[in-house]
Amino acid sequence: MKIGIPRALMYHYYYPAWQAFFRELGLTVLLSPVTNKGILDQGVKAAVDDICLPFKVYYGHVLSLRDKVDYLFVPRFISLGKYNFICPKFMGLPDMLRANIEGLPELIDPVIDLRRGIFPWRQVAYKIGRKFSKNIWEIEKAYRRARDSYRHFLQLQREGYETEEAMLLTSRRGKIPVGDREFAAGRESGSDSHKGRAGDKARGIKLGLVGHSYLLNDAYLSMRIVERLRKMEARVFTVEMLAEEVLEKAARRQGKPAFWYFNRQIMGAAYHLFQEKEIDGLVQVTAFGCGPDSLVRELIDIRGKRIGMPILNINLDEHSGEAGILTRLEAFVDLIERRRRKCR
Amino acid sequence: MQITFPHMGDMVVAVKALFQELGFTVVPPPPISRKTLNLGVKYSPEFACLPFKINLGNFMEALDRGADMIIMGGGCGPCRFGYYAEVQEEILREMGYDFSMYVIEPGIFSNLRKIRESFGPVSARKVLSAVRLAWNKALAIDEIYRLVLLKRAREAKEGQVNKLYADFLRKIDETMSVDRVKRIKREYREILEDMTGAYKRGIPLKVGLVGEIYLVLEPFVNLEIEKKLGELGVEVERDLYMTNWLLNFLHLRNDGKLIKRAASKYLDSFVGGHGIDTIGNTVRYARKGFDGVIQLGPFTCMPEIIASSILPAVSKGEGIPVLTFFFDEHSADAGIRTRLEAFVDLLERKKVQARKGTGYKGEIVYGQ
Repeated sequence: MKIGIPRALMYHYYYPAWQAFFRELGLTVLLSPVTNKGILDQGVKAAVDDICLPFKVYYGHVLSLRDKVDYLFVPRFISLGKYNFICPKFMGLPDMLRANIEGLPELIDPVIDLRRGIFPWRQVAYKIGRKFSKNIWEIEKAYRRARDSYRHFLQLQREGYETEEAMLLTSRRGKIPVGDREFAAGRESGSDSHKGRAGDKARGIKLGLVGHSYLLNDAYLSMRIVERLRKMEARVFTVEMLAEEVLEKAARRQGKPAFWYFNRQIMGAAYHLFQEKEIDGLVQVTAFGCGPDSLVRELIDIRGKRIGMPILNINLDEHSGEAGILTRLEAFVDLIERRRRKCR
Repeated sequence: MQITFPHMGDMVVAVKALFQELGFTVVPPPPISRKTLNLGVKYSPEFACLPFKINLGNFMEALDRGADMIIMGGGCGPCRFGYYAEVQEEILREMGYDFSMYVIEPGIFSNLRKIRESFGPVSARKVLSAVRLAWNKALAIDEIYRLVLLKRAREAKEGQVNKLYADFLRKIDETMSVDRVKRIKREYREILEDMTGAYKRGIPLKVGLVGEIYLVLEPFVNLEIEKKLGELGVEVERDLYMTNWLLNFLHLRNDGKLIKRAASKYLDSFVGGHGIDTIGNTVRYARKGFDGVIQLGPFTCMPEIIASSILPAVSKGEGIPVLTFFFDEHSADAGIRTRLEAFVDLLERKKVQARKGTGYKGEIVYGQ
C-alpha cells in the first residue's frame, strides 16, 4: 500500500518523522516531486484566488499524487503548543481539498492539537497506526522510530545543516553521527560558509533570514534565496538554527507575543538576532496573502527601525520574478557592506 | 480620562451609553469616512485586513479629537483580530501619540483586576445599571434592524424604511432610561410590522448574509450591501448580530452546536473567526428554503478564505446559489452593484421557473 505525502507546508517540518513512522508500519511512502512550474500552475488553477502561495502549491502537490497512491496524508494541524495556534488554513485543509479536488484517494487526516492531553503525539500516532496495524507493539515501535528520527533531524538543523540536507542525512542515518564536528567543519571550508568562522572572508557579513520554513526551504518558491545569500558570502542565520527555548524567551520581549506558532518563532528569531547584535541586517520573506505575516512583519519592522537595523522585506507570489529578487538581494548586501566600511 | 473605541455598525450607540452611564467622558471617533479609510491604509501594514485599517483610522481620528484611552477587543487567535491591538498600539506609539489602551482579553478575573487598575474604583450598582442600559439599547437596535432588513423589500416609498431607522437610532441615542428605550422599540416595531405591502419585485426573494462579523455589521466597509439588496427588493436575513454574538460568547446561548452540526458534512473543524458559521449558516439557510446566500469577508481573511473554498461544494450539495465578496480599500460601488443585480436576477429567474415547474432548477452559480 502506498501513502502519498505532498512535498509542501508541514513536510518541511515533520517529514523525517512521518517517513520513519509509515515505513515502520510497512507502507510505501511516495513523495511528490520537488516543486516546479507545472505543480505551481496546477495548484493555482485548483485553489481559490485569494489563498496564499504555499497553499496553492500544496494543491499542486496533491494533484500530482492523486492518482498514484492509496492514501494521502493530510493532517489537520490545530495547535503546536500550549498557548499557540497555527494559521487557520491548516485547520480547514482536508475539508478544502475535499471540496476543491475531485477523485481524491482516502485522506488520512488526524487532528493534531498539542494544547491538550498528555503525550499528544503518541495519541495521534496510535490513531493513525490502528488503521494499518492491529499490533499495538508495532505501532509503539513505529512511533518511537518517528520520534527518534525527528529529534535527530532537529539536532542536525541546530547544527546548521539546511533542512533538505538534514532530511537526507536523517533518512540515511547511521553514517553521520549527530554532533560530528569534524564533518561539519569540513563542510564549512568548502563552498558554503554559513557555519562560521572559516567563512569569515572578505565580505563575510552576517544576515538573519526569517520566514516560514515551507516558503524558504522550497527552492522553487523562494528562488533559492538562502543559497544566493551564501553565494554572496554572507553568513546566514535562520529560525531553524535556534533552539525553541531561545526563540520563546526572545518572543516574550513583545508584551503579547504572536499566538501563531511559526510566527512566534519568527518573531523570537528576529528579536534574538537583534538583541544579541549578531547580525548586520535582516531579510524577511513573506508570502503574498499570508495573514499572520502581515501583522508580525510590522512589529519586527518597527523594532528594527528603533535600533537602526537594515531590513529587506521580500513578498513572494506566483508572479515573483527571479531577476527582481536577485537584484534586491544584491543591492541589500552591498548596502550593508558599505555601512560596515563606514563604521570602521 | 477621555474614552474612545472603534466603530462597528451601530454599536457605538450602546457602547457610548455604557461609558457615559459609568461617568466617563466618551469621545467616539467621527463616523467612518473616506478620510478614516485613507488614514488607516496609510499607516497600516499593506496586507493587514480591512477592519485593522479602519480601526486604526478610527483611533487616529479620535486621538486627534482629544481621546486618551482606547478600548479594544483582544483574543488569542487564530483569527488575526486577536492580535490587532498589539500591533495598533505599537504603530500609534511609533507615530508619537500619547495614550493608554485597555485591551479586553479573555479571562474574567484578570479583567476585573485590570479594570480596577485602569479606571479606578466604580460602584457595582453603577456598573449594573450602566450595563443594563447599554444592553437594552443594543437589543433594541438589533431587534429593529432585523425588521429593517426584511421590510426594505416591501416599502411603499423608496427610502422610507431607512428614514424610519435613522429616526429610531437618533431617539435611542438621546434617551438614557431603560423604560424609554423599550417604549421606542415597541413603537417602531409596530410601525415596521404593519408594513405588509406588495414586494417591489412582485415575488418574495430571501437572501441570507454570512461572513466575517465586521464586514457584515459595518455598512461603510461592505458598501451598504444590505441597503442595496433592499432597494433591489430582496429580504435579507442574518444570524450575525452584536447581541447574538455576545450571548454566544458568554455561553448564554449556544448556536454554535447547531451551526457545527450543520457544517460538519463540509467543514469538520473550527477555523477561527466566523469560518464555520459561514458554512453552517449557509447550510441552514439552504434547508430553510432561502433563495440565495451572500458571503462577505475582508481580502486575505483566513477563516473566510477557507469558507469560500468550501462554499462551492455546499452550493452544489445543498442546491443554493452563493455569491462571495471580498472587500479591501479598492472595492468600488459600481462593481458590487452590477454583480448584485446579476445575482438577484438569477435568483428571481430560478424561483419563477421553479414555480412554473419548467424543470429548470438545477442551475447553480457560485464564485466571486
